[in-house]
Amino acid sequence: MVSENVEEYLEAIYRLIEKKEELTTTNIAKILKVSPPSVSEMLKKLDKRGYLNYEPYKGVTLTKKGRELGAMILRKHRLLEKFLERLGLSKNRIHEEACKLEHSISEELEKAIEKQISEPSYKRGVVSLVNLRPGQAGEVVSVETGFRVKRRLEEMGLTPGTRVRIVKSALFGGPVEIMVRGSRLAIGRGMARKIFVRV
Amino acid sequence: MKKMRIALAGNANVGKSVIFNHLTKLHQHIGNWPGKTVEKAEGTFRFKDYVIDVIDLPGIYSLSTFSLEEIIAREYIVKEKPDVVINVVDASVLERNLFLTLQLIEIGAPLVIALNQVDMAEKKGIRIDYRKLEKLLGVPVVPTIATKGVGIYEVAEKAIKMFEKVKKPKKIVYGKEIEKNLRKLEKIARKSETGYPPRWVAVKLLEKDREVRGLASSNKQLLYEARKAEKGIEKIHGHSCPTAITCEKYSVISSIAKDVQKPVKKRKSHSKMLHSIITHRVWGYPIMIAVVLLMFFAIFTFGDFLSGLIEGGFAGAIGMLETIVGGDVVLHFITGLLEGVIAGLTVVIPYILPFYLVLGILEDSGYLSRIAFLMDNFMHKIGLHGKAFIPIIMGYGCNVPACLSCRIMETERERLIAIFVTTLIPCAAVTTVILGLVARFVSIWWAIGLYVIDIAIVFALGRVAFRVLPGEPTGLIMEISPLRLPHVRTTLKQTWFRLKDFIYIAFPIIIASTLIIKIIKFAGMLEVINSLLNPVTVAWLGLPAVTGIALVFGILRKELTLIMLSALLGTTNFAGVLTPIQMLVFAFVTMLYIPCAATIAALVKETGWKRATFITVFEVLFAIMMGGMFLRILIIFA
Repeated sequence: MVSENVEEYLEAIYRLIEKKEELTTTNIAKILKVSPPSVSEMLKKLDKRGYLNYEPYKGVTLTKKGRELGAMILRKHRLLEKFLERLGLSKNRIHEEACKLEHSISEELEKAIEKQISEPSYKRGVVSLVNLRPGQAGEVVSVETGFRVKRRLEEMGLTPGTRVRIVKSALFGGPVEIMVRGSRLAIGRGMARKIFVRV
Repeated sequence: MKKMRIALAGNANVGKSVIFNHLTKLHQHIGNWPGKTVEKAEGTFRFKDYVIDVIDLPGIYSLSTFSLEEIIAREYIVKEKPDVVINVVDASVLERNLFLTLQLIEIGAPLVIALNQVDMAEKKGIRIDYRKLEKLLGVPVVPTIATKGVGIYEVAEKAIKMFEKVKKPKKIVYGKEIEKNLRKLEKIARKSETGYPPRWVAVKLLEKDREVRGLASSNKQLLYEARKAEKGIEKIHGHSCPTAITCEKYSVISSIAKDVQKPVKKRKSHSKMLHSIITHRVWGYPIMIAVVLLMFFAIFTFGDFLSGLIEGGFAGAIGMLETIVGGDVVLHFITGLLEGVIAGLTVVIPYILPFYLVLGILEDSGYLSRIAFLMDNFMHKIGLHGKAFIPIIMGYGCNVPACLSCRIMETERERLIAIFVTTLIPCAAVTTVILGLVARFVSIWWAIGLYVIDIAIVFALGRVAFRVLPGEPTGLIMEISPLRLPHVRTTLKQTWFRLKDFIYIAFPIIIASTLIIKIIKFAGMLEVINSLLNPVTVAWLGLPAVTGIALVFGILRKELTLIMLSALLGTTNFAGVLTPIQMLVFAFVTMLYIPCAATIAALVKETGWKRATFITVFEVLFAIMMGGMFLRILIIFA
């Protein structure tokens, strides 16, 4: 059984990677609202247990095991947020409640909620395009931007079911470069985050 | 001679303009679409026994309403009904390009396809069976290599054939469910006159196209049935109706593309390797900075040398003129005119022409779009995306064409922010002031410092504009076309267009302004202006009183500030008459204080009187305020 704390950490790190902010102990501390020294303490522990590679003053990279767990928790979090939103919970409570619930729901409950929500981007195994590593490919599930941009992206070939491959993502939260239908596109990160793919 | 009209349509960067240039050579007219800020290129050529008018439609990816370009293109095709539409298709990205082709077929345009860049496609390992493509689409297809002129006349031949006997293309059939609904809507759509073909109206209604909905608004039954069909399709497909339609279009296309594409042996491409180096997540940035700096350094070193030569040459001419005509009013007028022409030339030939030539090479090779990729995140901070970097970098040449090039931004709001920011960029004329005053008499580091300060100010003001102007920022969606050797004719043409913006807008103003200065001098009004400006120049900015007149004339042309100053002070050795701090403040204010008269004209043209006035007045007040603060900061640290 993985402890709640470990899950929270991996989720936070996974989130930072999504936004492509620099992975520093200060950043992680800010998200989790704890002190930087305790963050580096925890990072050392997580390193030992094989979730990530941590070198003090250099940075953090997730291992495959860590990435998978982070992705799973974040997915549960998003799923719960959507669910709580549907239940009519106020906006400022949603995040906090989801943070608590994400560690305790069973797989059956998760599946049931998924069925309730029944939106393609909330399906199991679906991640945001920015979570793919360079060279990795996925199949477009849905584009969740506003109508205008969604149409444009689909017209450029990003229709559901299409294979896309990430070529690279620029530093400092810059755009991602992708290959789709034989063409090379640059897409701003803000939009790329709202393109969901199945790996 | 018989007449016919051809329109060229296609995605951006597929070689449309190259084909256009090839067909029409020098018989071209570049203007604007009526009431729109989108460029319209028209031309004519003679072929067989025809006089053919060609119109180069803006580069688009679809016939929807994402951008102004798309609306213009589709209105032109439907309302102006060109006799033939030549669809230029990039063979190396066939699938995505056919998306537009499919819509051109649907909109009922008599079509000929120019399958361009077949050489590039082969390099990428794709060979296209164009006869098969022809058969599957029911549209004549001609393989071309526009940059080498291969196949262009065959395209014209096919276009004439199509004109003489219009052949209907194959109908595009959607999946069962959608097709059933389309047929139903098509039937109802026949009853109302929208100007568009009924089937296209049906498709567009299912795509929730706002404009077509408006056109069909009188036909209540049609709208009702469309809504109903939408719901039904959404239920079956599990996606929104427009998504389902786009999906089906692409599935038609991809089966065609698979059918006609044959893999051949890929050739090793250096362009791919180069691409991954110059957009490398770390090395991309130092390379970019090096390229830009090198470009600036080369142009301004070379320009300084050349402008000296030109000035020297003309100075002799004016001297000679004076001895011939003798000193009277006519002479003042003639020399004034001549000085204006010289002043224009000493900026255009040494600085602006090489600047745009080099920029054109960077653009056509594909490097500029890579810079846009690298700079995207930075530009987001001021509410723009990476493409806005292109007008900004153009601004370092001349603000006028830079202003006009802000048209590449997709929304009105972004265009406005980009224009505003561009007018704050020090152009070549300002650079001559900074180099001639600060770099020469203070230090090169202070000159560079001024540029850095300017970038910081651009950034800060851009952020304010971003916050103040309502609306959501759009993100970057940009195709990255392969790197290539720049095509000489296209690059020269592009350079000429930008230069033309300068010549038509800026040049007459430069000449007129030089005359005005002559008149003011002649009337002996210099002292009046200086004393009027005394509180600003002397009290607030700490400059000598004569700078008042120099700054006023700088409104007409920025490089005049320095020229006037040397004339008024009677020396070019500024170190003797100005302190280093005064030089810095003077250059600083010159850099910021107003978009020059020519830029104001461009601003009016692009944004209207109100906004142009606002931007101008704001920048004057802002520069004076900042100039005074700059002075006080310098005093504290000196």
